[in-house]
Amino acid sequence: MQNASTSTIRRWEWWTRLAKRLQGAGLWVELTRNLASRDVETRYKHSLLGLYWAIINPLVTAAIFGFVFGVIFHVSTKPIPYVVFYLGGLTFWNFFANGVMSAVGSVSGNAALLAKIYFPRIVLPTAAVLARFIDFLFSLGVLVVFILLYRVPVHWTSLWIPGILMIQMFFTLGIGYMVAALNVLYRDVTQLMGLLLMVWLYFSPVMYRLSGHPQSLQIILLINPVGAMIELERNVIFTGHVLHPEYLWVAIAWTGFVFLGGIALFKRVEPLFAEVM
Amino acid sequence: MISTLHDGTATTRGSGQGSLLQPDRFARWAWVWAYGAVVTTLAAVRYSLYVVHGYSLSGYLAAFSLITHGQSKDLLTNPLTRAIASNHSWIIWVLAPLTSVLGVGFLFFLSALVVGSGALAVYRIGQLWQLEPRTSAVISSLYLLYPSLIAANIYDFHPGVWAAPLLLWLVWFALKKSWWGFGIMLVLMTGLGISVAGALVLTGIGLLLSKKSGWFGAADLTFTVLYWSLAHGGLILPHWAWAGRLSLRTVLYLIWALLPPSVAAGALFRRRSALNHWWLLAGGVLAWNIARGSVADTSPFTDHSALLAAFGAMALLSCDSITGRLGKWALLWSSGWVVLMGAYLYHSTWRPRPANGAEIAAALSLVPKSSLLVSQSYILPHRGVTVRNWPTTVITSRTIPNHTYVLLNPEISDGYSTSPILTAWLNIAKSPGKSHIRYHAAGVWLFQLTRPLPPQSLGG
Repeated sequence: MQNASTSTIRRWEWWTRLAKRLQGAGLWVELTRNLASRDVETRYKHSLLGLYWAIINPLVTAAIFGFVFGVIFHVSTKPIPYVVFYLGGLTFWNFFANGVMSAVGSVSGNAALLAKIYFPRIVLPTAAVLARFIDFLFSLGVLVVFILLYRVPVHWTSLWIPGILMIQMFFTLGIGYMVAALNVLYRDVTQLMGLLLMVWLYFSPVMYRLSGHPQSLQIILLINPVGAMIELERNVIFTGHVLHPEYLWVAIAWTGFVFLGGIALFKRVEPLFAEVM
Repeated sequence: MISTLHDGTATTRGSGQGSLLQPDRFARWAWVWAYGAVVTTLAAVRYSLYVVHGYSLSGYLAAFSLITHGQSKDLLTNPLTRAIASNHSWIIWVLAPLTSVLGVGFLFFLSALVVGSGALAVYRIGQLWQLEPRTSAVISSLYLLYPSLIAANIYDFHPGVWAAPLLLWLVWFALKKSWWGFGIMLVLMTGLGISVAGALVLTGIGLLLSKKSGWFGAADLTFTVLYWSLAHGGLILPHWAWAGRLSLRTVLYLIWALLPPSVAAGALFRRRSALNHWWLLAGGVLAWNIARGSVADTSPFTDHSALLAAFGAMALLSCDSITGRLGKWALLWSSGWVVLMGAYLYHSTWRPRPANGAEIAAALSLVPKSSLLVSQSYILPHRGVTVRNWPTTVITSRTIPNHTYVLLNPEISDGYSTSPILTAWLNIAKSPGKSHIRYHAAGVWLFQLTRPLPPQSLGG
C-alpha cells in the first residue's frame, strides 16, 4: 500500500517537473525569438538600403562568379545556367557561413547584457543563427526569382528542402555553440573561423558540380556534411534524383554529433564566462 | 560528490561539469553520435567505393522488397533470402517499409547508432556499481573501439550485431530492477532471430550468477526457452562442427579476439577480485565461434564476434580492483587500436577500391529496374530495395530465365563468386548464341541472356 502511494507521489513529481520544464522552455523560446528579431533590426536599422542588403549580397556575388566562371572560364553546368547553379549552392552555403560567423561573437559581444540579467547563455548563439535564417529566407526569394527568370524546371522533390534545411540548421547551431563558447576564451576563434570557412567553401560543391570528377574525389567531398547537404539541396531542386543518398545519413549522423557536442562544450565553458568577461 | 539514485543506492559522480572522461548527459550522447558518425561514414564510403562485402545486405534488401510487395511466402525460396527467413527474425518486418522509403544509408546509420548506444548502457552500469565516472567512460570507449564491433558494422549489414548493445541494456534494466525495460529488451532481442538465442541464454546465466538479479536471469532463461520452443518448435543452439584442427585463420582470429581483452585484463589481474563469471561467458562466446568451425564464424568481422564486446565490457565492469588502474592502460590500448584500425581501413578500403567504379556505375545504369540482375554481392545492393537481384552462385542451382542481365567485375572478388563460377559466366558472355553483350569497358561486363540458362555443372 505504502509502495503504491510512493509510486503515485513520484509520478506526480515527475509530471510537475515536466510541466515546469516546458514552461521554462517556452520562456527561452520567446527570449530567443526576441533576440533574433532584435539582431535583424539592429543590423539594418541605420542603413540606407535596410533589409535589401540581404538580397544585394548574394546577387552581387552570383553576378561576379557567374561572369568569371560562366563567361570567362566557360564552366559548364548544363542544362542549368551557371548563375542559377551557383546561386543554388551559395544561398544554402551563406546560411551556414553567416550563421556560424554571427554565432562566434554572440556571447563575447553581449558582455553588458550578461552582466545585467540571468538567462541561459545558449540562447545567444541560437538567436544569432536564427537571425541569419531570416536573411536566408530573403536570399531564397532571390534564388526563386532567378529560377523563374531562366525558366529552369524545378522538380517536386524540392519538397524535401525543409527537411534538409532542418538538418543544416542543427549542424549550424552545433558549430555555432562550439565557436561561441571558445571565442569567449580565445578571441582568435573569430579570425580562425573566417579562414576555416574560406577553406571549407572550396571543399564544398558550391561553385562546381560534383559529377564529372573521379569517384574517389566525389566521395571525399561528400564526407563533408555541409558539402553533402548543399549537393542534396541542389539535386532535389534541379535534377529530381540524388546521386549518393547514403551521404544524407552521414550528414545526419555528423549533425547529431556536432549539435550535442556543441551543447556539451558550451555547458562546459559556460561557468567560465563571468570569470573571463 | 555523492548523489542518490531513485532506488536509494548511493553512487559517486564526477564533481566537474563534464569532460572527456567525466562526461555529462550531453557529452555522453555526443560520444554515441560521434561513434555513429564515424561508422556511418566508413560504411557509406565502403559502400560507394564497391568495397563493402554486401552479401547479407543484398539478402536483406531482397527480403525487404518481398515483404513490402506482399510476397513474403517467397522468402524461403529466394536464393538471397533463404538464410534470413530461417533465422525467424521479426525485425525485418519493421525495417522493410522504413528502408523502402529511407534507402540503404538508413540501415548503416541505424546500425551504427544502435551499436553505439551500448556505450551508454556500459556507462550507466558502471555508475550504478559506483565506479568512478572516468572508469565507466573508459570502459564505454573500450566497448566502442572493440574491432569486431566496428568491423561487423562496416563490412556488411548485420542486425545480429545489435545483440551486443541490447544485451547490455537488458543487464542494465535487470540491475535497475525495471521489469518493463527488461521485458522490452527481451522482446527486441527475439526480433533479431534465433541466431542470438544462445547469447540470451548466456546472459541469463550471467544474471543468475550475479548478486540481486537472479530472478531476472531466471526470467530471461525461461522466456528464451519458451519463446523459441513455442514459436518455432525448439531452441536451436549453434551446432558443434569443429574439424579438430586449428587453421591459420582461426589462430589469427584468436589473436585478434583475445589480444585486446588480454591487454586490458593483464593490467588488472594483480588481484583475484578481477576474476568474475562474465570473463567465462566471454570465453564461452569465443569458444562457440571457434567450435562452429565455419570460415565465416571464425572471422573477427562477423556479428557473432561482436558479442565479445558486450560480455567483455561486463567482465571489465565487474572487476572490483578496476578503479584507478584502467585509465592509463585503456587509453594506451584505445589509441593503439584507433591507429591500427585506421591503417587497417586504409589497406582494406581505400587501397583495394576498384579503379573501375565509374564503369560499374555506368553498367548498372543500363539495367532496367524491372529486369532480373545476376551480379557480385558488392554490386547488388546498389540497385536498392528490389527482389530482382540474384547472386552469381545461382549458376549451379537454378534455371536462369531468358533476358536476365549479368553484371561482372572479375577483377575484384566478392568472396562468394569463386574463380570457376566467374569463368563459367565469362564463357557464357563470350558465347554469341547464349548472350548479348550490352557493355564492356575497363574489365566490367554487362550482358543479357538470349535463352534460359539451365543449372551448370562446374565440376569439370
